[in-house]
Amino acid sequence: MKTITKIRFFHQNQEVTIEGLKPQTSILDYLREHRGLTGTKEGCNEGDCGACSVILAEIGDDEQIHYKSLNACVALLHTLHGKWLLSVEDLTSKEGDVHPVAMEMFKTHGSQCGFCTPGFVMNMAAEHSNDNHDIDFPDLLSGNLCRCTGYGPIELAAKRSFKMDKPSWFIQIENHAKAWLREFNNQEDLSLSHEGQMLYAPHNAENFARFYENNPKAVIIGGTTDVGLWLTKQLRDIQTFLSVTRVHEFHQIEESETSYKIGAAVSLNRAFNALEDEYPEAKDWHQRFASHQIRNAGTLVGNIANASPIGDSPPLLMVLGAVLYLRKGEEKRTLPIEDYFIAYGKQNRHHGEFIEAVEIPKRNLAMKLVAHKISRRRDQDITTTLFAASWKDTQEQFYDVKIAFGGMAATPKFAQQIMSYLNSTPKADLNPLTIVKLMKEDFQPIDDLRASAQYRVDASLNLIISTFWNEEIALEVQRRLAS
Amino acid sequence: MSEVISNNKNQTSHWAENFIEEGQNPALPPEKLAALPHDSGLLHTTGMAKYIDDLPTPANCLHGAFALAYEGVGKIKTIDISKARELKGVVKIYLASDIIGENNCGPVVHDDPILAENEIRFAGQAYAFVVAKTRHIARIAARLISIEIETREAITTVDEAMDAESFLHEPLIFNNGEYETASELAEHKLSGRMYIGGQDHLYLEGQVALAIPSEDSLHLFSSTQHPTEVQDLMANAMDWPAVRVSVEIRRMGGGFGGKESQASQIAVMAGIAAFDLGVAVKLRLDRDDDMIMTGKRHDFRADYEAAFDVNGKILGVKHIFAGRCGHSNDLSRSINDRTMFHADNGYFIPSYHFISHRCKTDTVSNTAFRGFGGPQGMVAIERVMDKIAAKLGKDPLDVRLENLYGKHGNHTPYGMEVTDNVLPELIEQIAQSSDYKKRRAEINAFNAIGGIIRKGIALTPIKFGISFTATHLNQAGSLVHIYKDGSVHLNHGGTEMGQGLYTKIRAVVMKELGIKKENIAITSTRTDKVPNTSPTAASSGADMNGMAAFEACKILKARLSAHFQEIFQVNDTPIFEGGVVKAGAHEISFEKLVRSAYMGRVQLSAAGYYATPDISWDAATGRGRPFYYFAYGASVSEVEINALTGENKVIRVDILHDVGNSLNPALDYGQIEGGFIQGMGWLTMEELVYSDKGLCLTHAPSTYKIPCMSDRPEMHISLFENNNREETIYRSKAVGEPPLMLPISVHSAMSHAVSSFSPKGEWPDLDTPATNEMILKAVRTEMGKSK
Repeated sequence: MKTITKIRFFHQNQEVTIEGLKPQTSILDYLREHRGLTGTKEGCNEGDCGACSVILAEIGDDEQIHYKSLNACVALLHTLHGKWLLSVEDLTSKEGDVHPVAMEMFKTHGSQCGFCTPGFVMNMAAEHSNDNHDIDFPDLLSGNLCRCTGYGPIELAAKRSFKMDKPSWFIQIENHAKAWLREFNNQEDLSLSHEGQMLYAPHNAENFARFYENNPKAVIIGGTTDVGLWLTKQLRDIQTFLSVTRVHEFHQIEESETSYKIGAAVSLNRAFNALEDEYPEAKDWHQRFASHQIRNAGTLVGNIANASPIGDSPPLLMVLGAVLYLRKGEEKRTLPIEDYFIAYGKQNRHHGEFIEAVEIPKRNLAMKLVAHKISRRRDQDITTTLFAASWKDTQEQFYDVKIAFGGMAATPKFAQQIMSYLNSTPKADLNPLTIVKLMKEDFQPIDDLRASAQYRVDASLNLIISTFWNEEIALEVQRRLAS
Repeated sequence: MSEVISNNKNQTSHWAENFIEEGQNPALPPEKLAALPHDSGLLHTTGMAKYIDDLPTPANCLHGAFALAYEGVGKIKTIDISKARELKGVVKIYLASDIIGENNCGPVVHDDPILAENEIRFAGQAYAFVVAKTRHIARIAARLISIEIETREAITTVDEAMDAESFLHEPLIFNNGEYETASELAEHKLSGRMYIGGQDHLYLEGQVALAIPSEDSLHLFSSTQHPTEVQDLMANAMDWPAVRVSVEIRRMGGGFGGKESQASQIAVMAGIAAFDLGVAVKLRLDRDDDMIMTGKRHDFRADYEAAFDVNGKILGVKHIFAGRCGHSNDLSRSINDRTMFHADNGYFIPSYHFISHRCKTDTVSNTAFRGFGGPQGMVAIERVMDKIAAKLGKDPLDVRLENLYGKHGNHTPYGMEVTDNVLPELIEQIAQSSDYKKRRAEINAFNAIGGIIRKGIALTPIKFGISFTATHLNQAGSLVHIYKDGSVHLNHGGTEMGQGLYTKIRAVVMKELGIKKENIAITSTRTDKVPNTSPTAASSGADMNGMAAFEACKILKARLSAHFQEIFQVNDTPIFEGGVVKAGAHEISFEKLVRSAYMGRVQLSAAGYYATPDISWDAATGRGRPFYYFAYGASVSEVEINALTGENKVIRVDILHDVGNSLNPALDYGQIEGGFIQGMGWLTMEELVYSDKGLCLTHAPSTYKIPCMSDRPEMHISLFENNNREETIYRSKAVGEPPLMLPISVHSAMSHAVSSFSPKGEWPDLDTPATNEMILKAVRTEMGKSK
């Protein structure tokens, strides 16, 4: 097995090599500080404002180039390996021709202070280059903050530019990039080392598992949408990274008759797209899950593995009956997802063991599903309370009821008492006021900077009652509780 | 849940559709001059525009980071820098004792240390400064510094400050002595209390400075709205005369008031280290540090009482404002003054007793933010209007109309007469164009049906006073050079933060000299070109600098005209237009005239100067004419709320706004929409949360939420046809701040929606920001009331 120690990627119409930089260097710092390309801006350094958006392009199984925008501030250098990097400077040709998205942003008065502008332009340019014309722009651009314009002119620029073709000079570079990407050998392990820090990005699962078994203290990374903040905000000193990004098995979505098995490196966007037809009720949840750039970089398995009490995927996956595939060396086991979360900061995962994939059952036609996220801002916000429920019912009785919440406890958690009450009581005997009592047994949330405990309880109760009774009854219960 | 508040998609309402051609065509016909795109627009969108962090740095440039004290307030016992000093790459660590001159970055009162000295005055205050080879090392080292303090109990809220009578200075009072009598005689009375939240600027470019030393001076690149103040404070910190410091800024990545006084600490600290070490020092705050250690919009507690008659006509109002200023003065006096100047908004209040308390708290010192205290005063009086209407069972619009200036009087509580009021006409127009009455009836009918989704609608006006209330700041300068080849160098004291000031001022020079924009170079704002400048603030940038540029052009035109008359031997005054200068049959290109003038030894450089006329303000008596004129506008907002979760959405907004004779409608529309969305964020989702110790917890965009694209409602914006009655530049009006207050209608509409749950039709005490949580709480309060 060949291991290589330099990052090779395509950039500005040629191959570029990086060596001698600390593996934790972000793509943003690399561009600005090591390449003097200052068009890409740092606004927040945590993947929330989108000013640092760049494009990473790769060849898909369809032999087409796929363009993905991501936040360069939290993306580490190794993700460039074997890819084509585009930054805002690449939207102007050598002759000075300007790409339609940048030109339309100018013409529609889409910039005022201009600092967020390159990020908007790049996020748009990615989808423009994908020839994707059916775009919900507020969804695409919710991860780009602008404090000046109010967004109208930017949306207009997007709409106008997406009616325009890719410029010929861009297609020319695209062709060069395609040739380079095709020739690139992805069958190698990448190992980077500098100033006492090491990053290993193997190309297959076996090497990954072996390395982690031998180095259980290594920090496993994917899109670094969370670990990136350990670096940029907490300034943590990490000795060893182990990356899922190059492991080809981890990029698989295996569809069987009964399930989808989603590998550890599958991005949130890819995973959600696969699930969307199966669970259309989750579309709103998908849209409101972080931002487009974060969903391009972050992985579904990563969202589960880090076991945050406010992770957006666990409550939904819990009520869908998802199963985790864990692996340590050659040993493998499965685990219902809810059993993974033991306590805050404590998971059912052994030293050297990792989540290889999550399996999500296909739809049982009798099943009903609800997922409702509450956050201070509709899009691209951290969950205050996330409610997910699945159930079946007859005229007389609910059964197979599962209700899970995020943001209500130290881990994502089932509403156990409420579930057993709903499962065991005939519909005719169900009393919504009992839910009010059981809620107190199931959850004792805390006040934090997103909301008070009281609000969490009130809103959660209303969501449960309006789901298993109806909105009018929820309103009536609220009236009674209020008076 | 079947009904979830929807995402707004497929907007069709975009004002910019009307201004696209101008952007395409650089050779504009003169009548299109006004809608020129932002001078840096194409540089922005292609990533070529250089902000301070993008400038090439001199060799060996070092980087700085502050150490912040998070643990509370109290006397400093020890500071331990030993660990940080050992870190490889650290060059020097500065404490307050290392500052040669005055340790102050306070703009008016010198009470704001650059580095904490003796005591920590708010959680998050900077007390040490590390200079290192890289920014990363500086940041790590800053966290290796530790501080021990004798912590004391912190006063962190207005309530605590009011209880403790902790004030920065004496209150301002407007009292004509008639309120108490009016109140006794009135048929109707009401009173209430409202909490109005603060706001972080969240400029996309954080605070940054690059300091470059020479043998006896410093040149500072500072992302500041007030270069002269940075210059003065830098000089004070070095114990130098001001002349040894120059400050330069080409553009900011947003300011909004947050870089009026707050930029100084950053620039001065970088300057101190740069001169000491003899190398360039760059200081760029991380976003979290920025949001923790710099000031924000003041949050307020507003107590109100109103006396009124059966028609809703106001007989008297009592306001007691308590604004949270933080630990130092900063600009709080003027900001709280402006609250008082806007506690009438557009309404005549015959008997008044307004009191403004300036609360001193152990928290970050709050500062300027678009609107500068005015918005809080306006929110309070608009709450009074809504409450009166609900009490009388009237449409709030009718109560507003009843009380507008003009109907019963024009005398403001600060002694100024309102003489340029356009609100009656403006409101009538927007009520018509937005179909307000019909929609309100439909919404009331919709709400009467019941259900969990409720709607609300409101029309609120604004009247915003234009001028610095600190009268001496109402002056500006410009410097215009014409080079021998006819190209023009334009400089003025205003700063560019995205508002398009440079574009507007260039248009003045284009028009006056009759030349194309390509012939005019806009250059960085520098204190060594135009001295003694005022901050670019109070919406005054275009008004004052535009006039200063106009004055410079007038001087140059007079000299060139005299030369023209001399060479053509005519007495007529020539006109400058379309690149030529002509009088009667005589015509010469601008370039040729300039060259000829040079050969004829005519001075081709001029400094322009402008001081706003006819204004005065006596803080001691609380009387005067603090404003040159007022800017007006009104908006109609429609919202939806979900009564089970408090989730909410602004659905549609109509705006009619008065910018006088617009200097550039494209830029003005941009300010109106952007200001509206920013104000909407302030009133709905932007919630600042502090710890018990007073530390700001919402210190990044992950936890502090400003509106994003999907929050933008359907928007219909129009400009009100009006010329400024005062002699401003081309009779235009200021546009920077006023639109921020238009979305008060959003908050009123949210309250309207909540009121549908009130058994007796009462108006809810919905505070701001109206987050999901606040709305659900208000809904439950109303639902809980008995019939």
